[in-house]
Amino acid sequence: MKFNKISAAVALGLSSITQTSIAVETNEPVIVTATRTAQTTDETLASVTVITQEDIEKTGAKTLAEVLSGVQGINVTSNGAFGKVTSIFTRGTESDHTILLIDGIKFRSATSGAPSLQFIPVSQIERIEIVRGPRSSLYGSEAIGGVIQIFTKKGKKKNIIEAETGFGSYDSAKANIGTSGSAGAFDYAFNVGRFQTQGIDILQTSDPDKDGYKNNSFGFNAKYSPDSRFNISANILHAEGETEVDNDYYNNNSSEFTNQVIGTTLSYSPTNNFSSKLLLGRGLDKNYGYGSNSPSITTTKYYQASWQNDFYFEKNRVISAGLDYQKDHVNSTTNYALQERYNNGLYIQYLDKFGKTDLLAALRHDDNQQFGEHTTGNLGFGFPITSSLRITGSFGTAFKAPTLNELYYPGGYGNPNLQPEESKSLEIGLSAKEGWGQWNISSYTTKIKNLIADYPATNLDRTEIDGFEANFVTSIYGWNTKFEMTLLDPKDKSSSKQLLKRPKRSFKLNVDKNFGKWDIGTNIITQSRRLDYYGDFMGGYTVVNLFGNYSLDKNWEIRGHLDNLFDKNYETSDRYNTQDRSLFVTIAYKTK
Amino acid sequence: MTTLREKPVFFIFLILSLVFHSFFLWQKETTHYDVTDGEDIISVRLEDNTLQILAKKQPEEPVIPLVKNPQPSETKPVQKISKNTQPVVKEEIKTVSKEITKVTQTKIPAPAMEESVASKEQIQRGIKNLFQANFYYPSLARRNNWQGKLEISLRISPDGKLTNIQVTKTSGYSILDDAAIDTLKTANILPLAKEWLNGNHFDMVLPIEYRLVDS
Repeated sequence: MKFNKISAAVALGLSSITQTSIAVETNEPVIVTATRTAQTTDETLASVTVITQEDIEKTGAKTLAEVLSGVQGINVTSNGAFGKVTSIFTRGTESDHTILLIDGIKFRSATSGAPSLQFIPVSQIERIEIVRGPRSSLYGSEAIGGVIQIFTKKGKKKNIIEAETGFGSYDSAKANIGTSGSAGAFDYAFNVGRFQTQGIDILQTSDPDKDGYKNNSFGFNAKYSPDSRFNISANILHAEGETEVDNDYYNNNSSEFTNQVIGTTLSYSPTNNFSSKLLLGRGLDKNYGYGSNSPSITTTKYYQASWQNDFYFEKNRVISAGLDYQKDHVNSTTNYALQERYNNGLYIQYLDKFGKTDLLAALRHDDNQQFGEHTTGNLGFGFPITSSLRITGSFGTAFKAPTLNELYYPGGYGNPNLQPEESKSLEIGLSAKEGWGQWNISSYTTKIKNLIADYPATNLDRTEIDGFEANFVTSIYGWNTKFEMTLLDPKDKSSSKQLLKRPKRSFKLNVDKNFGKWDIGTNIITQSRRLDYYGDFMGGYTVVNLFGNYSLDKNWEIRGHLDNLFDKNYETSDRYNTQDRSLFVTIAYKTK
Repeated sequence: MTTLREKPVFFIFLILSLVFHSFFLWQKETTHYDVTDGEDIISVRLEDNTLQILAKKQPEEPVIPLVKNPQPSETKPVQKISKNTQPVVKEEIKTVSKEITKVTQTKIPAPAMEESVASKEQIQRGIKNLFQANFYYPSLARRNNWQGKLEISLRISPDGKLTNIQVTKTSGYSILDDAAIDTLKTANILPLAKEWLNGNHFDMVLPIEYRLVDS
């Protein structure tokens, strides 16, 4: 959580002319500053974590799973390393309870309801904003756990060229090149990249082969802003490639994938009291899987049109009202009883400040083609107890229609009689920003009615997730230290069983320091045991990663990353292997 | 009852559009500047170090304090606190200002120029602190990443009132220009100026920079 407070640094001198006219002085302005707001939601009232491109490059993460692993409130699981099914459980909720947005457009598979996180190339990412808790009236009713928004690289005033190439264990290699900048009223960014690896043997029980992966991607962004009040932008993120998987039933399984997000946004602020934004987008998730029997091909498309209007009153009052339309479409060799489903949403959000207290109230009404009308909403407040300590609280509800897989997937999994999932969450948090650093803690409880789990898919009557999370950032003798902690008790209340795949305790420590040309550091992730489908526990583990970056000059840098220093064997998904001790070295160029 | 499903989406768009226009027109008509009453502002001013500096009467540039969190809304609690302490502080001003008057009158018999120099610096600091304590960064500008430098000219009348407040150089964003003007109009008065000005007007140009920073 970050403070949204306006802090001011002053550097002042005034030129003045008295009536008796004295010499004019140097003309230093009063500089008044405010913190840039997160784009997904205002940090004043929500639990937000921001991860930047620099953070990603420094720690040397090759996949989004590595970037997000251990982050406050986030649990990541993978069915093996490199391009294998990867899931995010935000605050102990299900993997399809987190809305993933790429440049404002929802990215998810229409069949599984979850995004193909494993294929999102980290080289295309400029910034990630993670919002924990159900405060998603603006983005959809289904964010029971939270919202993660990825912003791809955009053109800035300065024209830059960046390029990197790297090699490492498992015959892994990557190459990325991109350019961005601006020309007149146009901003642009264009990046292409490739990552490939021979991979590891992912499944312990069969197919003792290496499961490789390759991903080719490009990202393109263009923005035209003839004046400050109007702009139109277009963005594309495209990734395609091949990933090999293991299966207990067939040999030499592999699948080809294409993932794409295309969007265009029109923003207009005709007056100082009003701004309007229209966004049109399409997400594509295509999978061509083949093994010893006939190939399975599934293409899902997601269409989105949203129109948001913001009305500004007085100094701090903002009322937002909007509409959004979403449609999922499936075309598959698997037989789904329903191939298309739409959802219309209407929302209003009120943001205000009374004295020192920030307040938020939002209501959203959805009409789902299949499951009818539902109203959700959230309330939040933030109050500064002292100039550095702040208390926040919120209550939110969410609603999620069962996914098409949960309803119709053949072979005994799908259950057409499922009811939608509904949740209520309550959260209270404290955060502080002091001279020596910052910290935040928050405690929450989420009750989910009809959570969908098990095989075949079943509604669990009552589920409750109680959680506590904390974050502590400081500098100790020049070592930047960041500690993140997540404690969870995710429980099926009727059977008192722990929900699958969530560790009850998770800790992450990141320590790094700059020594002139050197930047060295480590991150350590510790997670407690977790339950999986077969009723057994996967053991808890601690993984230590090291990184060291060396600047050759202002443009060139060499980065080295040693992952899993102690060669720990661990699993985040039952019977699936993870990376052993591995090394990766990158050389990077960037115009500064 | 008609559901969203039955009615086309554009129908709702139309309704919202109407709502927007009515909001918009209403807003235009009701745009005005709030003028806070002078007494509250006086108490706010007493929180900062102007008094101290005045008493010391140092001609050189003072160390400029890093003012944190000067959100406009914070003035309210500050007002409450200072209201309690008001009697004490008011006495202080009176005594200090009397001393000053004495000093200027006795020690420097005809110091028209020197006196103006001292006053000028005090007024600079006063306006600086006044702006810092009252400014706000408009939400629309923050969301759109709008930043810029502007200049405002104003006249401080002998009783300390801020008048003739005008933008002489725009930041390029009228919302920032307006916020700066609004800040000074809301502040309305530079309380101690009365003592410093000695019956004179004071015309000045105040350069202001609105800047967004990563936290």
